[in-house]
Amino acid sequence: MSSHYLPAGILLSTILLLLLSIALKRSHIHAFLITGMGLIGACLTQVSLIEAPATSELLFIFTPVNALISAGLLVILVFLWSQLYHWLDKSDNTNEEYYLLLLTASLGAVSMISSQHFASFFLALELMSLSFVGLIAYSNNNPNSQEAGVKYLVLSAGASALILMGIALIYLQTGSLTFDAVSTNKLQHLASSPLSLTTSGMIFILTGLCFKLSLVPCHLWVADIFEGAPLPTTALLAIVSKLAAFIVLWRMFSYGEWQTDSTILDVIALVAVASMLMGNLLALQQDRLLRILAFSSISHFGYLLIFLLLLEGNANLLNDINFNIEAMIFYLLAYMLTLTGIFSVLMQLGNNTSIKQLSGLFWRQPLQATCLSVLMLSLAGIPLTIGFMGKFYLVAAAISGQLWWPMIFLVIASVIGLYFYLRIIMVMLGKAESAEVPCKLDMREKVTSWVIIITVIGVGTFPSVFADMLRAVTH
Amino acid sequence: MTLSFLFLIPLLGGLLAWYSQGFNPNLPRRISLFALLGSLAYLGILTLTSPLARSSQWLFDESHVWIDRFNITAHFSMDGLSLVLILLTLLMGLVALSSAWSDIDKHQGFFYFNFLWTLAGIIGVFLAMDLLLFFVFWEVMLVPMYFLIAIWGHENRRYAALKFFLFTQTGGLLMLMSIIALVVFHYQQTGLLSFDYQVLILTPIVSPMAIWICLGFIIAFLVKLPAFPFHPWLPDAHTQAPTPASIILAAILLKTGGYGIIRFVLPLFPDAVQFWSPLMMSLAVLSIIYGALMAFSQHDLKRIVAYSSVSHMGFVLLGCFSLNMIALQGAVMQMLAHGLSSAALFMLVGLIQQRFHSRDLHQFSGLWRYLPQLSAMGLFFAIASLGMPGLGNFIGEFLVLVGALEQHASFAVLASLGLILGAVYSLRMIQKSFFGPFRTQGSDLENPASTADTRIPLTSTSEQASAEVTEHTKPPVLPSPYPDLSLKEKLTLMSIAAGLILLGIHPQPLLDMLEQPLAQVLALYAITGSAL
Repeated sequence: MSSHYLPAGILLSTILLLLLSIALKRSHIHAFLITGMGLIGACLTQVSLIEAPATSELLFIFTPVNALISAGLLVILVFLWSQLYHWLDKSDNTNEEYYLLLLTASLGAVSMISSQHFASFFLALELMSLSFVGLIAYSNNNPNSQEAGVKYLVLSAGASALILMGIALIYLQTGSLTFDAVSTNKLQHLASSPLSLTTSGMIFILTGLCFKLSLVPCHLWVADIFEGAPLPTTALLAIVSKLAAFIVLWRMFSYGEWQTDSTILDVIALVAVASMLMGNLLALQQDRLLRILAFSSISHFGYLLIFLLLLEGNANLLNDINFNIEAMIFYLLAYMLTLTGIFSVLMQLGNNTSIKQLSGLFWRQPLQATCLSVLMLSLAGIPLTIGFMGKFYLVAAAISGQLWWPMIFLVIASVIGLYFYLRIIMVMLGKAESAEVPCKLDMREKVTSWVIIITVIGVGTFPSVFADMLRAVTH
Repeated sequence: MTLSFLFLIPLLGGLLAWYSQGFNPNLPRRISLFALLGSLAYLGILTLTSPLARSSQWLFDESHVWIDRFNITAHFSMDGLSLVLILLTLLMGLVALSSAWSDIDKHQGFFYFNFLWTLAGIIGVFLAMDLLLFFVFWEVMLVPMYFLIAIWGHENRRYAALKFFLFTQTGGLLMLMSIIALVVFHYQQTGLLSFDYQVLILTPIVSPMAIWICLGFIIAFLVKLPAFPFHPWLPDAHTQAPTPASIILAAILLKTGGYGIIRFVLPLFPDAVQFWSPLMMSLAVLSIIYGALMAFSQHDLKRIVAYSSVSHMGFVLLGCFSLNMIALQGAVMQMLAHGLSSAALFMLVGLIQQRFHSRDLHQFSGLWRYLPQLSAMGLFFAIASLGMPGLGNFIGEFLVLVGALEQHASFAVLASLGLILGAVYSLRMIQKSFFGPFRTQGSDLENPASTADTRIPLTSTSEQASAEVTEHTKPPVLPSPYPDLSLKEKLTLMSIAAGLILLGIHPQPLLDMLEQPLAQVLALYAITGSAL
């Protein structure tokens, strides 16, 4: 048992401890504190494991890259956790189980990030998805949330079934369940069967993961569920679940060398372009912030798919084959940090998430409005924000891989995207509809807003430390 | 002594101005004044105690590590070209401040914050010698400008601000890609990863992609300049922006486009520029003529000035792509002179709007009667902008035409048509607004109560005009209801006029100062140029 299992172990024991504590005495503050200790403990051990040497076992692989991503995920979870208490305290549900589901979902995500075997991948995926059903349908007095829960249950079951089918097909062809079995047995199956079972299997798995990532043909659920689910759940869904699913997708590509299959490559290219354009186009006319976020997340994952296309490129003009991974992690983490910030601000705003309700926010709550504007600019990729550095990495990687054509779509999609990000800022600049007296933000909200602004602009302006760390990890 | 103070002073001043609003609503503008004067004084001290030898191109040069991973540095340099443009920025900043002084009355702190940050971004653009740093300043100056238009603008401000931002951002994205592609290809060629301008110009790119990379840069700068197919944001942005923002836009922001072409496009892509030069010169001629024609058909004063900017900046573009010393000097001269004259014109339009609440030529005329000083100033600057010999604009346009004649005679001939058209629309504007019988929309001097129903007889203008003619034959003993220029406004306009006259009568010191940097730009063309 290597020390790499420690963060997951801590999460697991926290879950047991929390169960025990709930069984003995129901108390919100206890549940909150136990979860917090578990998450922070897991986060700290994970951070200390970044430097540890890489090891690989049958089910899991531990590399510095994985450790960094998991650490990033756990940091985000700790940040969200710190705001959870106030949010849950306002609702009149029982709260303790929410923490339980949060922990199981995190456990699923963390183990999914380091899985390299279809069995561990599928178990972790199910652990995460099933917890999410509970998290989405959590609020028992909101019919929308129940509806969203059922939708997610059905769709995620469908996606899981597709993934299982894909795994079965690949197993049929290769006789092994590890990710890299596909690449090692490639020569055999190309010779033996004309109808490539592996390719069909890959497409099944891809479709399943497209559901999780809400990429274009499978994106229809995302807006309803983002809107219906309780806000913290939406945050987790947008951040944790998508991050883990994308990392797994990337690992399947890089270990199984899926990119050598031209059919798969075409599919990915098509999905990428469609997601970039559709996501941004659909967001244009929305007037609810959560729906805009849902659609913008479609397009951001469309951009991220470019990294998968880059895996195939043999000529890297920067003579640095690891640069793509570096760029991918930067973009991913930059996007996730921005999203975390947005959801934190939204949690402070409560249920005022339609565009109309935001109008005049600049003059009512300057700090929150500034914070939200900075985050929107970061999503749009304006310099001096972390989002710009992410975009810079993405463009640099794509150009050094001489992948020109997606760049055209990237420009078009970004300009469309800019329109609705600016629209949100513009609304906040408008006249306040209600002449309500600005209510004072309490200390906690102020600190959160400042932390977000400083992180987004600070890392965006001086990305050196972060970039050097990423470079050290990936090389 | 570091160059970074030049833009750090306005940056900090902006923050301070925002913060100080809580104490006293008058503080922000005073802080802005001190910040601008401080930068100006600092610039003066820097140039007087120049530590580097005058023989090299760069008067100042400093560099700090910024993003080590990509060898991106915070590299600032200043040569004669940047020096004059920064000087222009600060002076026009003062002009804009003077027009904002009593005009802006809501959210003052945030206004001056955005105002100073825009200026700081522009100064940064003129100083940055690292391509990514340049790009960051290039984009960052847009965000506060966007706020200036979107918050303090006129009726249709949201639309204008959005259009402005989308156009310039599209250009910006293309430039970002071009910058990265340029650096990547440079790395392929030399094995050296660097975003530094002074490193990149040493080995011009040879890849066939150079043409397209160059185009990315050119488009970004053409959008800003703006040249013909990329100009639609400009009339809207100018019209809707508050007067101070219009002044910054016209006087300085547009110049960053010309600066970008001279500084980056010409030296970095010698071959590609030769390839694009005919196309760009035709675009320039198109802009000159199209801008002038459009200016002629407008009746909104700000739109006239805006389209005249398109026309005048066409000369800058023509000068840049004529690729010889005279034309380049002319282009820079035109940038400076247009900066001065358009700032003054926008300020005057702002003053007219302040007094009559309208910029529509159909709604007032004969301002000379009540506002002789303002009208005289208007006459002077309109004449200046149409290229009257003896004033700066004439020198600029003349040099550009002489230079262009050397390169492509036909373009020069067509462009000189712009001078005639310029006279046509400028004189029309002057004649319609300042001369003729006094008339404003619905403000009968004798009975101001009738303002509400004056819109109705607009169709029978002749009738109305004659009625007013008779009215104005009565000796009006009443004091003018419209105050003429105040001392502050007079001083501001006078000093701009003095600047224009100085540029027009004695341009040689300036041309000498530009000689060295522009010669550096053209060094690569010297060989190919002689073969033409």
